[in-house]
Amino acid sequence: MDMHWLTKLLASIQREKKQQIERKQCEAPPLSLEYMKQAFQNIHDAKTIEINNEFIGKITLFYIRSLVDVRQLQEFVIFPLQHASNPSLRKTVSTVELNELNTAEEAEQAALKGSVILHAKNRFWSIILPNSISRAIETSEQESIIYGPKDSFSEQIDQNLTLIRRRLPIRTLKSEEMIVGSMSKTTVILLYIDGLTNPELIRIARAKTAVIEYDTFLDTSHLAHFLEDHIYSVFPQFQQTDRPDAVVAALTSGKVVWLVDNTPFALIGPITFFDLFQSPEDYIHRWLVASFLRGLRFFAFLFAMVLTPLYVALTMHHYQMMPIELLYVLLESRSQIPFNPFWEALFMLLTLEILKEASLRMPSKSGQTLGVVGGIVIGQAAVAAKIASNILIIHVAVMAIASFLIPNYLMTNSSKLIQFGLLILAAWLGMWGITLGLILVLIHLHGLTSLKQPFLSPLVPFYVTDWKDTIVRLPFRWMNQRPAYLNPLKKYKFSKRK
Amino acid sequence: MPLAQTLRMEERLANEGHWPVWLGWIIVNRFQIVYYILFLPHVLIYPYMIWIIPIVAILSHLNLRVLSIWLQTQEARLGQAGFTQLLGGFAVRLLAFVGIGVILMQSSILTLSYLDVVHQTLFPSMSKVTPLILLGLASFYLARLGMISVGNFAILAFVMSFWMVLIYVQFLLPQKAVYEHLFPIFPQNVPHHILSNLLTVWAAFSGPEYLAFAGKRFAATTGLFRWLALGNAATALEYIFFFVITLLFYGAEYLQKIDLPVVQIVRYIELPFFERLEMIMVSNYMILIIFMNALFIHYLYNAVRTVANFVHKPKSALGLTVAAILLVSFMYFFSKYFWVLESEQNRWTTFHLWVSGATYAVIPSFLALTAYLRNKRRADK
Repeated sequence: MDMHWLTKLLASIQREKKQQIERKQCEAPPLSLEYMKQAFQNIHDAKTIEINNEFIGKITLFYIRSLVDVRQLQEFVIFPLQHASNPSLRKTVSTVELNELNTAEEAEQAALKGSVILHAKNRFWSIILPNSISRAIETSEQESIIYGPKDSFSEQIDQNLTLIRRRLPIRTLKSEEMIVGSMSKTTVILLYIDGLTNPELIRIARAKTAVIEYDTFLDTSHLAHFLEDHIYSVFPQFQQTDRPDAVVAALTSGKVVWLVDNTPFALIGPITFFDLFQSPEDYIHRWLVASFLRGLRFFAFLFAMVLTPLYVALTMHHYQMMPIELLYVLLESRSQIPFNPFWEALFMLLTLEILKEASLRMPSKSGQTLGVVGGIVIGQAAVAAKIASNILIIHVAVMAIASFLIPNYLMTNSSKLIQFGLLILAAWLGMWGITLGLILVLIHLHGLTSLKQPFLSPLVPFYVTDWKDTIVRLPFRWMNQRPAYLNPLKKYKFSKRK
Repeated sequence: MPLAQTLRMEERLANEGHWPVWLGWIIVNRFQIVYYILFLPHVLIYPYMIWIIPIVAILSHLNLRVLSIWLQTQEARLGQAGFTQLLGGFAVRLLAFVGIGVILMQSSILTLSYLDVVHQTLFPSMSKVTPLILLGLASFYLARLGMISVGNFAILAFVMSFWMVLIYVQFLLPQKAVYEHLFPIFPQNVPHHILSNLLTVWAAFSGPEYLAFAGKRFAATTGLFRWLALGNAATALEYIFFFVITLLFYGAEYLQKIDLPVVQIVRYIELPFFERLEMIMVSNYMILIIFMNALFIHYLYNAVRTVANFVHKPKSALGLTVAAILLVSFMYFFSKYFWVLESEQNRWTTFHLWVSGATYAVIPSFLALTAYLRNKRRADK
């Protein structure tokens, strides 16, 4: 009895929704040839072909030339229709798939996605014949490795899906298609392994993708901006990769993956802070070597962030922390520099960032030249002109090299921003300021989530089994469990244990 | 199958999530060492005083047993409602009012004592106001993640601070360690000030009593005692370790003459690139202060809500902000008017010692006894 009002409320909401759908259908224009011609007027490559066949009657084909494979259209549709010897359309064009269309909107979308609209006997059909423009499968430039698979994704979503399905020939690999972007109508495929990935995770991923409202999606990162839980964070909350093997590894560990049409990058989620330091090569090296390299990457991350602020803190506040021999060297190096260490470091760091950004935007050969000119000539000139000490130049150079050890480029850029923050704190409060800055970063990381899952897992919350593949990478035989923080339905990787 | 889902900021304050049972040992350990690790060896001077630590650790162990009995009661698991059932609305509000005073005093003395060490070690000429405000902001930044996240932060606080113990291991080894300093291990005469030393060490084991108000935060309370006891044992070992290394290095005669022996001893470590490592260690110690103050902000917010009778209203970000502002403002005024002269500081430190010792002794037994009597009365009826 008490719930009666709720039932009424739900019924009224459903009624309202039904009415809205009906209203929309009433408002939508009827599907007709005239409508199609009108909708695509002033589009120079929108073509109409009329065929008269004695069995089928008058047939009209409507398509956009630049989107359709014209050779296939001629071979599999026009030629059979011209020479049809029975009234059945399906039998005549049996080599292609015919889908019947009911609304003008459906027809419009199909034409814009590379389908041919066929009108015959007062009915409309679409024939999918997209013009497959694609570059060849090439080696990954962003995550290049010495050993291991070399193929990488391209801009063709179907081709990318093929690369994944070849590695995972299982029927439980599910792919849900969604369209995002009111103008770009970008196809997004949500991938997961049914019966392995936690259903709650799939629900969150599906719900987050379904509510996205924006006009244009040109890259995976655009999608990531709408999916992330914390828009003000500097840390990437999803992993972008163009490597099919990385995607497959993520799927089999219980994560979800988004493929976005017209971009060679897939989006993996949820991720943790520690995932950003992993490279596919970690699973190719011997486990001891892989663990050492991983440890080195974490150290390099911290080193790259802290080294220059440490120089500023020591020279401005805590020179007593340096052994006397080192202090002499530093004093000699800095004796004729007119700026205080903060401005000196800030100037050099900004110069380095300008150089890095410029070399990225230049053609590869000019970029190399720029690197040499920038690194050696400007560095030497700065020391000679007495605007920077040679010790700082060493610091900045080592820091720059250390930052390249982080496999995730987005993470490298995040660390730069943190470094500037630490630099200011170091100049203001010395060692105490740097520590405060690092603790703030730690608190920030502690509060972060990726797809609503804790970003600092398996440290907080603590999952002991996940440490087999976090900072160290233990032998494969010992890594018998999937990440516990993902709570997968199949806990063990070995098929013997369920 | 449910996921360990974490929530957005605005959802977190209303989140009734849980801490895993094993987190109890880290919280107990960090709670206990947060303050006294810097000062304790100055109180314990003579070798035979080493026995005070295990004796008090056993007493603390028994007290934690009482605390875990209380935490297993239905009233403790109910949180605020449980306290009201047990003591009545008026008494709860009255005790919460007293609690506000205790929280404000303890967090102020803890923070200001730490800032004194910072002032002495890192920035002798700098005003304490700036770091005080920055510490308050950092604590609030953590507190805004919600009580559950603050509790979980104990893991990070532990990871970030425990490594410091390893730095001191070299002081156990010859050249730096003079083993004769460990004798006489038994007192030759009746020791003086034994009661005051016992009280100090007892206060050094205090802190876990705050868990008495966080009964509903633990996922389960069965087996909790084991973890609490483990934390207590870890603290005892740390205290013994720090006492032994300072004694081995300085000897009893010199130990009683110096301030902050655990801090000063690090000065004797020389690395090829760095000296004066105490500057790094004192800075790093900040993580424990931030962790404690973040918890205090939550406790303060809950206490204020209880006193103002707002417990039935949902928690808000504004309320938490007001609690943080109240805490930092109190610290500021306390430092400005009551923490100026060294005599005042000593007086407040002694006061802190008594209050910590008293709260640690009284709160678990009082709550456990009251719950026992109430349940017995109910059973008799």
